Amino acid sequence: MNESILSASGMFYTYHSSGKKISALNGIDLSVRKGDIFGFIGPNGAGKTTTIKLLLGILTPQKGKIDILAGDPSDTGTRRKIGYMPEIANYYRYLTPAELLAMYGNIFGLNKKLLKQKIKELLLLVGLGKETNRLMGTFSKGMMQKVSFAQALINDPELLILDEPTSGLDPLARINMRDVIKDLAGRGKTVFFSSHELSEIEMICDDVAIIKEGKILESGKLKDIIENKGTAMTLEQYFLNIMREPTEC
Amino acid sequence: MNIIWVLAGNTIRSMLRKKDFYVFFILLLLLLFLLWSETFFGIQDIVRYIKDMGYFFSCFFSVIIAIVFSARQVPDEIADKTIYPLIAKPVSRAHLLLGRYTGSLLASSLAFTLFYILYTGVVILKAGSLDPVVAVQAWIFGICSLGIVCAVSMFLSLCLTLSAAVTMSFLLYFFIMWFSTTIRKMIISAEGIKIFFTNALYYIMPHYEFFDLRVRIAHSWEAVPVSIFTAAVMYAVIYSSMILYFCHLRLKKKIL
Repeated sequence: MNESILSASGMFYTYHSSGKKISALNGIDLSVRKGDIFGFIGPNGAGKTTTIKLLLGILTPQKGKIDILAGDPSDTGTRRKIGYMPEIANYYRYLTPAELLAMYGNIFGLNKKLLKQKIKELLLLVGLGKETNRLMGTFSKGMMQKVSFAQALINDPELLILDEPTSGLDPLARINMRDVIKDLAGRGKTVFFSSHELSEIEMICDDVAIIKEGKILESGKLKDIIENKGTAMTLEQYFLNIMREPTEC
Repeated sequence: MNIIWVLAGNTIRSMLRKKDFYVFFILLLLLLFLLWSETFFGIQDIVRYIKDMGYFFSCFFSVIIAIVFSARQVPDEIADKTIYPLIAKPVSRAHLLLGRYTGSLLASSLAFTLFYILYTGVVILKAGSLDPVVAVQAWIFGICSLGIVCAVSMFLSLCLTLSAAVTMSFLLYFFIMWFSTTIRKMIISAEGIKIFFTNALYYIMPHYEFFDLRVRIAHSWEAVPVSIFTAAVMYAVIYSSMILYFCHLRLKKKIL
């Protein structure tokens, strides 16, 4: 059994907006093992992005504990080992992808010579080898998504957190990204993959957690989850069934 | 420290890639050229006029760049969502704030320096000379003033909407530059409880007027004494640091 690289227990988070309380997370428990591709699925507004923000230390849980790479997410030392691809890929439009990656690489204090090489490799990997010196203001959504994926890999992270990574990508780019993710997992990296694309999750994830209204409804091995009711079904069928069931109060 | 410089470098690059700076540079060039022409408005003492107006516009254009630039830094980062991949890296909110502040200050100082070089060039060409000590003091004071301007507009941008922060920063700057003498008179003539409020207002407000050497340059007066010069620079450093601390407290509590 692999060691746990990410564990969260009893995470609660409530937003306050115009005097109203909006409960985003209601006691979430998560555990991700080293080297796994972990799928995190749920409908819109289920609490996926809030969970990711807590895992990255952008928000602090009002209750509960998070242990990530044997540290606290609010610690900058812990974040050195994490790569994050946000749901909305928007970067400085006045920079070229090479300049953006150089900026992020410098934040990690990477060696200049190695960084130059790394930028070249990453842009080739995501299919932007010819767009190295083009301003990102002229990029399409899909191209921005590729830049976003490249920047998440700049520090050779131990844990990669991807929030809706395939949205806006063409089929070829999706396949390419899937292959890269599988390759990373093969090299012992851990991937936390949040997505609406159930077929993507089914194709690449080992473990999954299904979240609805701030609660984890199911969590475990993907195979075990979709076969637990005796009849094998697709993740999509299982997801639709579970979403139609009323949530316990 | 490295992170702060990386973010500052990114801010400077954004200024150089956007059009604002070049527009002001060309405007100043045109203005100085017009002022240089001796028959402009038929003014006899054109050298004094060039010194006065040229310095005013160098400062004015730099202040516009400083306010618009620094006020936009954090709100734009949040609105464009570029803040998330940044603070998911080993970048704390304090790093972000200091990096963006340093960048805004360096960018506006760079603009001011270029405007100032252009201005002194025209003054020397027309007047033949400019007291080098006063010229250097005016340059340093210009940067000190920009340091406070950047900190104040950054703070306002964390409390108000972007447009309100920019408007408030301009109003505050011009109000203080034009009415500081009136405020001082109000304090002197205040009675009762008014003494407390006028004094509080006086000490809270940023004293941009401390750094205005326009009259001294225009009339070729002697340089500011070293002790007063040092005290003014110290004031700028302490005041900006205090405002940045308030910015940090504000940003720390902001839910992103």
